[in-house]
Amino acid sequence: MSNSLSKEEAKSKIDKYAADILRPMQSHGGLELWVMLLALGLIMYVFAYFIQLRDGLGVTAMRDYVSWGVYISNFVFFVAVSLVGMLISAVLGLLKQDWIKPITRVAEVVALGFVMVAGLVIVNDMGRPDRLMNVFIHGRIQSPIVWDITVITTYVTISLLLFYLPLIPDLAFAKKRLKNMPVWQYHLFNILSLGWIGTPEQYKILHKGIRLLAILIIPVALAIHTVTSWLFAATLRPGWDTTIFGPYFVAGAFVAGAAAVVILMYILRVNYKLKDYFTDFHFDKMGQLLVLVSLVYLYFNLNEFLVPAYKMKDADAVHLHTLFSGKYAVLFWGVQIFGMIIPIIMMLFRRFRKPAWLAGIAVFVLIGAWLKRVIIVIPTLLHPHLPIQNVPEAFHQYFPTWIEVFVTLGSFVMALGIITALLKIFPVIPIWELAEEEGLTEEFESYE
Amino acid sequence: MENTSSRLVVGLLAVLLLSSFSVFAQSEWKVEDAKSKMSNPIQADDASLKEGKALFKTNCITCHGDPGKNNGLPLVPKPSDMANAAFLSANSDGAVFTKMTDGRITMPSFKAVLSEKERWKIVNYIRSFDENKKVASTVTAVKKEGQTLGVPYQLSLNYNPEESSLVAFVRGTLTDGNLAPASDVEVGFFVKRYFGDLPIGDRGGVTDENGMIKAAIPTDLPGGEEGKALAFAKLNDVDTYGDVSAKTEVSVKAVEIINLMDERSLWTVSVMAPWWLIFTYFGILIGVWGTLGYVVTLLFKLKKAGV
Amino acid sequence: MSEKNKESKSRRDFLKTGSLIGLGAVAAGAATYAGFAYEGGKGHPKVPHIEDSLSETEQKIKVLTENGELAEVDINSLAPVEKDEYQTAIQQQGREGLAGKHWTMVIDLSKCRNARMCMAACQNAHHLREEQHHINVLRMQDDRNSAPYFMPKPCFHCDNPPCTKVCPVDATFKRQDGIVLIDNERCIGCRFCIAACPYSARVFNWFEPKEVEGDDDLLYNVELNVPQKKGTISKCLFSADRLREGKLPYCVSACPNGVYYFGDLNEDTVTNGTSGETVRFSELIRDNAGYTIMPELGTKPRVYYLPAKNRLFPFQFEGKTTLEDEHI
Repeated sequence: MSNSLSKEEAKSKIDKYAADILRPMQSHGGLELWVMLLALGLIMYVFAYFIQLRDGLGVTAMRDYVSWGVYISNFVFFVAVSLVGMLISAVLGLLKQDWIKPITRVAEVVALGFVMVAGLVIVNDMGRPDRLMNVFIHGRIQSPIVWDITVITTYVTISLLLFYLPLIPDLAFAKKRLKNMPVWQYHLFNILSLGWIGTPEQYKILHKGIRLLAILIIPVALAIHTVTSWLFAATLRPGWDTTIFGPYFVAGAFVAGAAAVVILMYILRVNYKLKDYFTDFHFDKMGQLLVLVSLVYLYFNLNEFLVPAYKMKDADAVHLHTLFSGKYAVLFWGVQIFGMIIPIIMMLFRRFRKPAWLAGIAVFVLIGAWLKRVIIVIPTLLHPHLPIQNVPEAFHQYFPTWIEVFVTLGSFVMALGIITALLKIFPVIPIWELAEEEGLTEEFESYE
Repeated sequence: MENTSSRLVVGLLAVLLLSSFSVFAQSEWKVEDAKSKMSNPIQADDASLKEGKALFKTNCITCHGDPGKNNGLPLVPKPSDMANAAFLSANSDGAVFTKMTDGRITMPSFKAVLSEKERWKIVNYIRSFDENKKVASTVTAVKKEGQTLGVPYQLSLNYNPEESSLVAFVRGTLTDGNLAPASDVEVGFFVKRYFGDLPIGDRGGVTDENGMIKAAIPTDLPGGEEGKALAFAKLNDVDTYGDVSAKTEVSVKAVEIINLMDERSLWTVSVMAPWWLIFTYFGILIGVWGTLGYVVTLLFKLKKAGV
Repeated sequence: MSEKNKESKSRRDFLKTGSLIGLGAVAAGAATYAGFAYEGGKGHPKVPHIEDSLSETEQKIKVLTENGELAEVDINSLAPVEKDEYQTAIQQQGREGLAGKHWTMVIDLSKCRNARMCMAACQNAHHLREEQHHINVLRMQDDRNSAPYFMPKPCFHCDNPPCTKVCPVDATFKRQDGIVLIDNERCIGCRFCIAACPYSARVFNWFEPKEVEGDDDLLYNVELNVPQKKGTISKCLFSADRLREGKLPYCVSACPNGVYYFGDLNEDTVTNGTSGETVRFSELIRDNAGYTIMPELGTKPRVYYLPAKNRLFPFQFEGKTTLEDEHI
């Protein structure tokens, strides 16, 4: 290996990596409070879901017309956010965007946390979760739900592998470096590192595996969100019956996912003191990425709303009037303006791509992304082709009940719980990749 | 049987639902004098009575029931039996006509449905039940050499496959016990269908002097894959002639019965999914999971390479 | 357990089930001749004639017939059937449907005066809650300047059904006679079919279904969706259980105004539920300009409408003869 640094410098650099990146795995400032908060959220979730199981889905605000509510919106959001794993570790990685390397693991963790809980969000929405196995016993391959379950399962598996493979050298590294490791963690690392000793042969196999997964995850990730969009686009309802839903959802997913990664990067930068790894430069790049995908998404929004609004077909007109000037106007314009247009304009300027600013903007974008899914799911259901008549007043509108709020918050708690656990147990940055980039692989492996 | 029981159910429901109208039921339906005094411009001859009867059957019988049998629907207010003497004496032709035209509460307005002439023909038919103003009714029994023709009547049905027609031959019993052809007997022709009897041959008619009547079988009527149907004829006036009918199997149009479930499609059950979908789905599944399997074998290789 | 014991036990079970079902049959009007040997998956379940059973054998039992009358039949003419077996059999025949049939309904809008007896009869038959409509009489107006009318809306039992397409577990399915049914024993409650149906024909059991006495003892009948089950879908079934007995659907028979015709497209015949009048389907449609709702969606509905011309009853709802922004 070529090496421009002296042996001493190289060694101290690796030591610094080890210190900076491995340290947060053992210093848990504020963790107890955070875990307690999560536990509290989980208890609320269990309580709310228990009531839902006992009394039926009627405890939600969903009824025969608005038969999908925040659960499904939230499911779409979760799938959307998880797509970022593919964008960052696969697309940008394969495009040789080397600046992305420190961020890949964070992106994978976000993807894993959200996609694993997405499955549960769907189960929360089921009227008969006790019959979940029917999907596997009687699975009907003509149904987009079956495709969705297939691709999500596949995506979870690929994401796990894509999280795990690049972790192997770091596990071996951490095992050697970290003192006072709990026994369970040592054993875990020992088993998972698969006897990694860093031979060139091992590196070759590892690179091959990662490359294969990075290629494979692209179509699968596109599939999960495209199929999720088909849950809507496959119906004949005004507002959903459109052909651009696939790319529209995928573009939206990149926005939500990139925003989530930016927020997490900022938290880690502060909480894990990783200023030297998630630098201003990285935030600037992520800001550029976010503004790029947001512009693409804006373009799709233009198509999605302007084209039908130009024609104003009868059924579409009712739907569009509700969004533009009716009951959902405040939400619709709020999301479009504060969740997309203003963030895009701001992010075009370098000063707003500084870490704190960008993280702040990303919060707006992420909230906007969540609400956007509500706008996609609910207003359409309020305007079926035939009028809603001879039913109680509650059937004519939808506003989530506290049960739905807690169950939905619970899903976030679980996703954040998974993310927290992964980021506490494992190194948050792929150290060996940084070493490799600097040509320090030898030093990385040679510690005794 | 089915009809009466369903009528009963309908009726009971109707009573519940329409009880709110009961206040109207108390008040009598008065037709203003001028309208009441209108006279019927249509002659009450056989043709008009026959037409009136047919119109009554399609438009009125559902609620008012068979005249004289008091089997109308128990709506509130209750539809009168049209052969009820009190009704007939209380309502002049003009009044009946006006009620039919305007309607009230449960009685619909037939203004747009029936022409004025048609309405008057129905009035004629209704009036034919009025004992006081009995219009000469059609002769139903034929006298023959001083004998009377009466029950039991017999009906035989001949099927002519060449011209696809049915001929019904009606005979009555003479006083001496012999059979003789009965003319002017109303015969209906039907084809058996799953829920009811489909009238064919212009809804039948009356027998000629030889006691015969012919009916064409609609050859475009589907009769399953064999093109067969069960046709039958029956004497319409059960009260006079008794319940007399005869049946025969006839040839109609053979049609292909398409079983929707034989089709591979997106909407049908899982096992009948289209081949392209099965191949695509499982093809991709095997491709992706095969690759993942390969990646897992790489992990084993990785472990080996470390020893 | 010895073979003999087993047999006598199953017979006792049968007797018990038989009487339970007998009660249920009256309540639900379902074709539940429990215990009668069920032969073949198609057509009517075979019911032994009473004459047949008056043979020399002595042992007679009383069973409740479909009409609610007690009949005495020879026990030897009945094959004892286990509850599970019977359940499987009715599920099986329910999934297959009647061979050679293709049911259709014709709704004459000119005769509808919103009496809602169809809705009441339907809710009663299917044990539905007050707000659950398998058939719903809508107040419609197609354009600002056109006239309002009442439109009863059942499930259209489409020949290209968007709802069965999306079902992940074959819980809603179309059978050979064209009826789209729901298996409440299999439905997972994902409600994708509700989203997919452009006609809002489906309802969901958001809570425990309406309590109907005797429901606990009833075997589930896929052709009736009774007893209803919490967390699953329900919708118009064209009264599949009645069709099997040669009877017209509940709503069709209940209408006092002659709105409904029902029949078999393969026979080209429909029968009016009120007057019993039987007519050629093709002629009825031709002579009255029959149409289907929103044909542009390509769902191929099997429910036809006759336009609301020459109305027998003028449109009136809550004292008004016009609609304000109900639909348009």
